[in-house]
Amino acid sequence: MKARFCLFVLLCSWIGAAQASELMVHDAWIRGMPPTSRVVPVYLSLHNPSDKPLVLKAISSPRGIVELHQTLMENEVMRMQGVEAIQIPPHGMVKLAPGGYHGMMSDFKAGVPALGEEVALTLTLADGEILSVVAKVTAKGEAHDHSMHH
Amino acid sequence: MTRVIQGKFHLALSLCLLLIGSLVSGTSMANMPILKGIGGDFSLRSSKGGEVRLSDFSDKVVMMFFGYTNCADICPTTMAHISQLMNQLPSESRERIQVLFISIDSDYDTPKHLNKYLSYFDPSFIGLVDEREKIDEVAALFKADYTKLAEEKVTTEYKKLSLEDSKAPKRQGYLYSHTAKIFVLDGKQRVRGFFYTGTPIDEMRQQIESLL
Repeated sequence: MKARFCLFVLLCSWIGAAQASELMVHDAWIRGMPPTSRVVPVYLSLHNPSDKPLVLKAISSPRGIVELHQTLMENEVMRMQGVEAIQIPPHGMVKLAPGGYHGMMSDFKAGVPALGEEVALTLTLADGEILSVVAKVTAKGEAHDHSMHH
Repeated sequence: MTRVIQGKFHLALSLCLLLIGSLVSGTSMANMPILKGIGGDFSLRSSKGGEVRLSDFSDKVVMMFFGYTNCADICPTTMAHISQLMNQLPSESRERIQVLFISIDSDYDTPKHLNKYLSYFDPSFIGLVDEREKIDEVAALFKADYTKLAEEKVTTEYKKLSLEDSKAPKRQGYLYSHTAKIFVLDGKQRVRGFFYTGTPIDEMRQQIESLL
């Protein structure tokens, strides 16, 4: 059991998960998009191992403005909606993934992030905590494609 | 006598059922029926230049999606999903499939811009855009309602942000609501069903192959 836990910790540090006092951020990625794009999506997984709820207030990046959004589907019609914050319940996991919550990056400072690039992100929580994460720009994100299911 | 008739009747019934069964399994009708009251021919400006008509793609299976390039999440996810499917198909099948992306953002998207956008996912994808009225007609044909959400419909928090930072660039163009459907059309441009971004690739592949 202890060995398994050690392996888990090792694995987490190996995949570069950001861990502050509480919140853990995994699998941050940005979809590779054409250089002519005005918007690109930012995805990541938030894991709250603590006993208290955590709230993601904002994501920022030196590469552009990031807004928190949610794709909503009503009667097979979808739309994007800006959200003020994302709640991560105690011992819960929230995914910013295709078809749901996501960050929308726009107003690029140094062009549209290109394939293979690593983009710095800063996550700000409601309690003032700040986490630094690196998101990799990937081709199509097949491996992370937690698409909607019908 | 009655028994003999009954026996004959049963035999005929089983034969009928067998025949129906083989017909159904032999065709794709069970999976992808021809849908009535939806679809029709149209012509729009193409990302490859000039005008194209839907009927130009006769004998091809068409997968058609209504979206816009300033859509950050679902449109690129859908295009990536379809391109993943295309990559799994043998080239003979790919040649008999056409992916069409109809832009509902005629204010921003141009054929040239659509070409750059779609080539990124698959150079064979064709983007279509035109005057708003023409797009509206096509959307009506396919019951693909979409709405350009007005600025004032933007959430309150969002407005507050813009007010706080007057230098913040004006955000626009991504606020559309649109159908989640990927329309699947057969070689005669008849609507046969719909896929969604979450439809498993294997299922899409089977359905598409049944129409080829």
